[in-house]
Amino acid sequence: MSGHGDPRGADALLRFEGVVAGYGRRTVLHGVDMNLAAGEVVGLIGPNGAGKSTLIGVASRVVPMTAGGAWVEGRALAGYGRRELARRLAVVPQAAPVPEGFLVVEVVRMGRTPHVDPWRGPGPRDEDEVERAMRATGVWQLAERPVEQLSGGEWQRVVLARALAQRPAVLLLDEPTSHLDLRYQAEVLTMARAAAADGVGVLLVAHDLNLAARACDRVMLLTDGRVVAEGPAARVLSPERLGRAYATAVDVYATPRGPVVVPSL
Amino acid sequence: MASFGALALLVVLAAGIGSVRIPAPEVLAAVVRGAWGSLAGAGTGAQAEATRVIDTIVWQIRLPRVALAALVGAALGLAGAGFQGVFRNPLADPYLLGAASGAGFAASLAIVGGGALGLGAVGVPLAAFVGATATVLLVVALARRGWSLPIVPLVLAGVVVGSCLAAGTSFVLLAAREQAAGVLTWLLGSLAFASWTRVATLLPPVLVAGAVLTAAARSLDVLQLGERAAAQLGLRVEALKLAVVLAGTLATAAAVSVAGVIGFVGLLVPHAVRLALGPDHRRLVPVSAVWGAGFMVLADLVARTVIAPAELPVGVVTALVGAPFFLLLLRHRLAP
Repeated sequence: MSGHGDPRGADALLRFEGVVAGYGRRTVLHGVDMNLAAGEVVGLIGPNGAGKSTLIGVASRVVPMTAGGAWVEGRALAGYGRRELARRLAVVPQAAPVPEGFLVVEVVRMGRTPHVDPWRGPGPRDEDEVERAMRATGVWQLAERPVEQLSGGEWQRVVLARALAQRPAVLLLDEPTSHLDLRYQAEVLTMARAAAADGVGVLLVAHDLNLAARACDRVMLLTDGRVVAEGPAARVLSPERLGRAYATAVDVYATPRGPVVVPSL
Repeated sequence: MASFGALALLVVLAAGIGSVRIPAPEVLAAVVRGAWGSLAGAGTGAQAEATRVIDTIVWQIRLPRVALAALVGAALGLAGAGFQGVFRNPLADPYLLGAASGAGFAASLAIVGGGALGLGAVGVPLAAFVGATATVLLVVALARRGWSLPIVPLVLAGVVVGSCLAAGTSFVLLAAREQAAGVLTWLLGSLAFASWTRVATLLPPVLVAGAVLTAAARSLDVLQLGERAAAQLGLRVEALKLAVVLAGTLATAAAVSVAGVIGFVGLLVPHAVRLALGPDHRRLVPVSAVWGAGFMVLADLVARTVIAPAELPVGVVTALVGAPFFLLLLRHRLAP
């Protein structure tokens, strides 16, 4: 489904209006509007320091919002309890620390934390979800491996499996393909698309503009804490706009499969 | 379970060793008699007399000491497991936030000036307990930002406050030379003043800490993914950290107050358990308590027997045994 939805975001899983946020006195987001609907993959692009990770932090309530409004499934973000929010919204962080000594299956099972009764522990339903997430990400055969023995690509897929085991409606991916080689980049993005096909709304922070153009239904260009352009990649990724946002000259080549961006050296 | 069995065996053996050697079966018999409330009281003749002597040695001297050693070890093992979990660092130990230096400073003041306050025998343990808890609470207050407890400022505040108090203790030692030996003995840790009263004082804090840490075990596992990820999985990370730090501090302060500053147990034991059984806190927490108990019983056995009738400070034994063992573990760990 295309799911571009109504621009007012009435059907949005995740909606921001004029969100202002930052760390202490330093404001990073200066009034961000956005929405994410079920079944779509939206790319969040922009230079370093533009506020992409901060935006993910605000949506998952680990970075406080100082002004504006945010809603998850139509309900104000601030009204959610932590566990309740974690049942609807999952994050794949950038450079997740590796919890030494734990097995792959144990880490994926931690994704069930917001669903599991803390006294009783995971039940058969949780084990089913863990297996489903591990099969979807191709880490089922690594189940009994200690996580510190995994390659970077395998670990990234385990982190994705953990997020899928949360059974979220909204999946926030913070540069899930950084440090991965081409094959793993393709695999992770295919998995993100598969999640969207299941009705999950996926927000993908991407440094690699070409990957974002390929994988996303539309992209949002964030610069200095504001969304400066939003829409299909072919429209947003223009040389003028990117040149301004990244403060460097770029060449954009239109291809049948979307735009390709390279810095003009 | 196997660990528990080994600990029970160790307790019986340790209770038999000392200036009077009592074979394990007779220790067991005395334990059973005591538990059934029929300690050899009346009766005449050499046989009854010998039984009475054994009962007295086992119940009045050996068992309180072994039990206290076990509880101190359990407290430090628990606290160490909790601290290493919260700080996500296998080098964290129960004294990281200044509990030891706070207890040391307060206890040295109490030893030097205690007579004046007239607190008697309770004075030093009480001072040590208050000193340890007050220090950790001060460190927490210094490091907190609103309702959150950031780890790096917490560790820094612990180190800084700890150094200040250690300097204070050194000053007390220099200023009151004639009592310095007493202070030093306390600082190095000893179980020579064991009694059933002390066992009974230490038991509730250890049980409370054990209960809190066991309840927090699954959350501590999730915390190893990083604080941010744990929050995004629905944990109330700040409440978890505070609960574990306070529970660990309660156990540590109680242990230090009855036995002085005994190093290495809280660092070494959870580390060894993690290497042997993996990082799952539902195993790590209880097993650290049991292994800590066993390690302390052994260390105290060494402390009171190697140069008998004199005693080594048990803290010296744990460090002498602990440091090389720890190096061995590290080598094993760093080996490819």
